[in-house]
Amino acid sequence: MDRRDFLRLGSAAFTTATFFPQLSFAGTLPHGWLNGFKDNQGRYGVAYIDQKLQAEVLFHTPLRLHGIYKHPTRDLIVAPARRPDTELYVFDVTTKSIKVITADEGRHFYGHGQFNQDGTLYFTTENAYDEERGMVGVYDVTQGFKRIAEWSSGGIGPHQMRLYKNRLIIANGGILTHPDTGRATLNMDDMAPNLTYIDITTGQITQQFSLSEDLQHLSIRHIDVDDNGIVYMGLQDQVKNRRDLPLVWKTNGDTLDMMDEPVEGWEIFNGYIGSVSTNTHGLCVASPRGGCAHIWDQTGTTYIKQKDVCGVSKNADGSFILTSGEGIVRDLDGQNQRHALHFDNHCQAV
Amino acid sequence: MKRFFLFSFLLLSPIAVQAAPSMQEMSLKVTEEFILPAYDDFAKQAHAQSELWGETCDAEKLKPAFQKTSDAWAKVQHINFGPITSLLRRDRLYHWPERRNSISKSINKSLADKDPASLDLDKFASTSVALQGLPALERLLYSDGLLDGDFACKLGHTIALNIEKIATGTDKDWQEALVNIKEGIAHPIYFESMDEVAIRFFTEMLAGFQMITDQKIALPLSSSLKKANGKRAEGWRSNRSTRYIQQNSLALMAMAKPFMSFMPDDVEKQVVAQFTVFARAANALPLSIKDGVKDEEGRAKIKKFLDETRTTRNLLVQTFTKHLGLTVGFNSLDGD
Repeated sequence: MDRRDFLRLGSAAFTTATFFPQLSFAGTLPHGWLNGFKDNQGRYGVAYIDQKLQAEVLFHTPLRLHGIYKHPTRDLIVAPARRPDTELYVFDVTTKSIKVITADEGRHFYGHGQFNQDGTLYFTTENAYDEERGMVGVYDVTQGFKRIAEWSSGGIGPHQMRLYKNRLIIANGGILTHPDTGRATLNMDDMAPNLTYIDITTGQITQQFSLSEDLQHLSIRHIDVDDNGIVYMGLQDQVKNRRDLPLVWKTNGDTLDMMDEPVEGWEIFNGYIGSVSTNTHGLCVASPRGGCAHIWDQTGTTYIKQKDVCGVSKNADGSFILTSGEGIVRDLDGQNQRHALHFDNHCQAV
Repeated sequence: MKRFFLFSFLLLSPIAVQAAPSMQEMSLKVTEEFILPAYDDFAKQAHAQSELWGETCDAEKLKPAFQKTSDAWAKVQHINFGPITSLLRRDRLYHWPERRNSISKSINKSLADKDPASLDLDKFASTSVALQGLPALERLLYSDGLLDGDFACKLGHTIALNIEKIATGTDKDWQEALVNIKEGIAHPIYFESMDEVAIRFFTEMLAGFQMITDQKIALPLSSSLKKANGKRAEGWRSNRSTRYIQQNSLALMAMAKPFMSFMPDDVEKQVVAQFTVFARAANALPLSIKDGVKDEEGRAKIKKFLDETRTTRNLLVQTFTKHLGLTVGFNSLDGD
């Protein structure tokens, strides 16, 4: 790439989504991770992280991305914009084509989505902002991501979703926003977050969980589900008057149980969990505002200090990898790399 | 892969900046010039208020002391770091925004029970946080007919004493923490390093801007004139909905000042100029946010102030990180 190419790519990346000209792999995306980023020139995009924790820019986007999802069988990478933006990017790694889908009238995306098991459908969390309702947008992948339906998310401010069998599990964060007032929370005094299950064969809500009245200002935002269907939730305190509230919970039958308090206290998370990931051995959450990650597994709990850490994802060895806004990618065995990228909130295994 | 590293190298080209001050220097200056005087004033006003409650139960005589104590609280309201985080002080002092009228419910229950034992100061510290702080005192002083009878007066006095105890305890703990900051060593409870102190002072200041936009304005303003609800404004009963914001704005400027003394002159001038614009927009706010959100002219002034709040915050992020070496994480600053 010469200087002219570099400048052309740089200016184009601020206005439109572009593939990075040369990728180190051909054809199918090898096993690794995807992570959104901002580079030192203020450009956003998606990076691919390989097994050696080397990072490579896949594409640039004009908007900051959040959750990034790979199709279960095809080399399609999908990324909905963060609130209150209205673009959904579909990158075809094989053909190097990019499709941008705009949210329906009166809707915007929340940065997270979920494929169904065979990859024929893609779901997104959306805001019907004038109606003040959380929605799930249903897109037909086989028809080029045509929006074919929408369902109520069962609450306000839906954020992350996960799939377990035919059940779509939605973290309704409870935070009301409107594009006219940006990202400001409009309902801090009557938030009602919940965890909602939707049967994807009918679009009907089948189950809901809520925290007790005194914890309703803790927004349920990030979740993961294990092989047994247990859902783990990471919370964010919207009022921030105190630091000792339990921020990590899990489902237990028809109830929610808080995880054991870290030895260092709930204060270590500084009121904010940014990502949640579970594997066959345990659970890991990351808190950029606490500058730490925390693991619960059979051996107990482990505190991991890491500045601005937020991305967390399962590793092939049954462990986890972490990414940070300072460009660090690390595993838990001492391997780490620093890159000239600010890794954004979420890291997704592919 | 080689290309990526070349790319990375280009992105990492260093920018020439003057040497940043040490984190200890900044921590000490902000503590001595802003934190300690502000908490000291809060403790003094809270003490004067509780003394007055010991002498009278006349709401009209007590209101000026409440206003002065609230003004002093507004100076440190954005700080959620250090001694204020201990013993649930912050939550007990200022339970707001409240949910489902919890403050009135707590007061009404206390007035109905009339249990003298509940007013024991040590016991009172573990009662509902909705009953313990400034919002409860406001409710007693500014709601018609509530401050009536011996028990209500004693309840008011107990709340005032409780506020004083929290304020003086916080002030005293900061005085003690100053020793650690002077020596540049960790505090066993409040901080591990001088980096942490300086960066937390900075991020608490940024959180102060967000407190204004998200809690104090977005709640009553809502997304449209039709949905606006002035009674979600802070301190509307005591006519403080605008005053709180103006006092908060002045406090943010006062807290930024000791930081700015470490900046190059031209940058300091730029930040001061923006703070002046910010303060002017605060002064131009409707006299009452509670009423201002209900008309187009008021909403326009509020939105203008919101714009300046965001501009000022962004300028602080940009200049403080570049010239003072205060790093704020990409994810911690703006997550989702």
